[in-house]
Amino acid sequence: MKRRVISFLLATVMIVGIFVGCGKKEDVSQGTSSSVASVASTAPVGELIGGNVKFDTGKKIEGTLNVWFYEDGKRFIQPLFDDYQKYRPGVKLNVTYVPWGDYWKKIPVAVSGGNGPDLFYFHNSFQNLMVDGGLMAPYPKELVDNLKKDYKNVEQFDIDGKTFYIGVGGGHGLIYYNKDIWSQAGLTDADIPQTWEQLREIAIKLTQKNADKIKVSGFNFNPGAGAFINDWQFLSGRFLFSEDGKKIMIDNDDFKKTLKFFTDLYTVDKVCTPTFPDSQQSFKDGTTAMIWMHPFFNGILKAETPNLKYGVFPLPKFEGAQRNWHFNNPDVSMGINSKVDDKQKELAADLLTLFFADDKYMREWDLAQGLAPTKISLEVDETLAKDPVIQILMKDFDNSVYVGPAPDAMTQDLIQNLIDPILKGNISIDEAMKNSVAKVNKTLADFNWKPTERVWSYANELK
Amino acid sequence: MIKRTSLNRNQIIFVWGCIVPSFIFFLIFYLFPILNTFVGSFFNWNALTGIMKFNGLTNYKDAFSDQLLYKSLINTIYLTFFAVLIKTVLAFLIALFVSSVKSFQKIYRSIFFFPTICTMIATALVFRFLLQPEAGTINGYISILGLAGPGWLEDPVWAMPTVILYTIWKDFGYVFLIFLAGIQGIPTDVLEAGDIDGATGVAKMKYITLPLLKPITVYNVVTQVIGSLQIFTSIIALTNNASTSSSGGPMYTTTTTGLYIYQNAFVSFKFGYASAIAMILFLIILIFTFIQLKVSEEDGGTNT
Repeated sequence: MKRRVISFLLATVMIVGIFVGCGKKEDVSQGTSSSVASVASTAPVGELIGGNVKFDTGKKIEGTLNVWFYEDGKRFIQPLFDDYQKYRPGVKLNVTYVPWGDYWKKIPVAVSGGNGPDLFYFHNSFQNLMVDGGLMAPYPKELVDNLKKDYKNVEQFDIDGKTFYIGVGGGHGLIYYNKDIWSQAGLTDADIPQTWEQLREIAIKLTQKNADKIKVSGFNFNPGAGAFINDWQFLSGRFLFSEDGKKIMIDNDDFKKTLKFFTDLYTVDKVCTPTFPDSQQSFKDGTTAMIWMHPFFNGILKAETPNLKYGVFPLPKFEGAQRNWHFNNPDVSMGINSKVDDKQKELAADLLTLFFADDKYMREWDLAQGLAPTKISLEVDETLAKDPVIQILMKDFDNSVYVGPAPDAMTQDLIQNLIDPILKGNISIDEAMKNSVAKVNKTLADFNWKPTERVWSYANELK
Repeated sequence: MIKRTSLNRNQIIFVWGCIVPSFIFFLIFYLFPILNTFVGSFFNWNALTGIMKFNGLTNYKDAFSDQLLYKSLINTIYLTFFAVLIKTVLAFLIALFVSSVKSFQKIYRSIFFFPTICTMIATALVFRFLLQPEAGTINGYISILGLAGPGWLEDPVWAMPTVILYTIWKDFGYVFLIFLAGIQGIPTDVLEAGDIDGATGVAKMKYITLPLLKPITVYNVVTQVIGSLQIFTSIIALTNNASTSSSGGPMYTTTTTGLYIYQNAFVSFKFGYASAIAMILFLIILIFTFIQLKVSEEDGGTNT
């Protein structure tokens, strides 16, 4: 009898033990207030901060506000949360930082499941899921009306008369170069290429080999070129999508010529191989001389490799091209959870108001991510103007095309069906093109969106 | 004849007390999800937004014209065939060897079982590091011999064999342990009778050991096949690229059906379509398991 009771209890404990692992609460990080921007820089109580968007530092509010942000963003967003907590002592602010690799798996599930945060980091490539799927609430009308006065291009983010997010800074691909490898090859900043043909010559010069094995890559766009491919279409002088957004328009001779140029860098000029380490990691390790990368990489390099001597320059253009058209990939503001009650939405909007009102948070974000500011008052900001990456972006801004909330899955489709078959499978460009267009068009067929390429100022220059 | 005895009231309560929690667990975590998936496969369904629109057999029609699904099935069958075959043969031979040694048996058991108890994610990450084509240790050693190492997980030709190699290394210990238990469970008097009759080692293997091990072999093969047809975690761990959030190897060469289901559900958020593929895979596994068991029963019964 005693044995049976023990067996029964053991079986029950084991089964209960399985359930203990379910529904584990996310670790909550309160963050630290170590940022220089927040030290002794909060406004006095009772003051109104901002231009048209104003934040009242003396407003008394009580409640709990839950915010999610991606982990790497902590370095530039934490001052906002620290200051908000000081202005709103009655609000308990819970901030959770989620690793980037997990973020887009966790946030849609959490929000749709009803236990997501009130406010969260957002990227417009997930508009189809989060906004059209009813998981995000629009910003209050009064806030939007004032945003239109303080920020550029707010109307571009209008969705059926509502605004769910706005651009916080424009960014596009840049070429990062390792100054030590550059000078080892006898090059100086005067040799910075203006055309891709010149870059090719420099990449060949910068490539270092040990017998047949590449020791230092002259130009590396692994893995599979990623979002760089979007630039290739614009560099070819072509729109990326059809007007209705249901087709990708890369099956043309101009793009094929551009594609051949870049794949020949690997297969003919041998400045890199498709199995060479990832471009970001190998640039940090000093084994790649030049890479294409988004401006956010500047912030990562400053934080993780402070001793690495590097510079940046804008994307070259092809000889004979009018300009170096390229793909604009903006960061956007945080989203409000539609599934929380009105009080939580108001709290979320209150934090957003501080974010939009005070220049310093937008400045921190733009500096860290290397973005050209969309806030009008920051266009003449000295700190941003001194940043070499942002200088380039601001000068080059008119050449970058914002396509709208294109699906994230498209990049994977292009890597798997276009680049890998050519570089790793020895498939011809024509065959790879046929397969990749079919796959991407299948992705786009199910995607509800409208491209904005054709409203760009210089759209008449593209075919 | 076995005499049936009726249980008393306390015994009946005890038995039900043990069965009911397990049955509830089975209902919640097995039966309900399968039924939910089956129903979901007839809908245009996004579980995150709550959109659920009935579309009949559209998901199944799309699946039957999906070239990538066929590729994933071929990849899965290729992996299953070679991984199960090599694991089974290797595990059997090594179990034979270990059972025949007089000393250090426990040490051998520990060595061969060790990979099975290591965390899959950690070991997969180590494998990726070792097998990095340009900077990895393995190709570094190969280059000392004056040869160029393959692209391993980055090469369309080598990617799946590399995954198979990892799977064999990781899961081999479990199969080996089952075989070892089976071999050590063969009655010694049967083997002695063979010796008395003058049977050679090969004859004893053919007429005594292998037939007596048949239930164990069938169990190993069936469980390994079921596991391999559903393989997912090791594929993600070995092929996921954090920069692009993509996985499945170069040119989809290591995209298995399990991974394809995951990608459709949690990357493209097409839960209805993913459910249809999951039901197709379920059916394939069911048919295959049924055929396997039927064939082994016809060969002389397994009672597995």
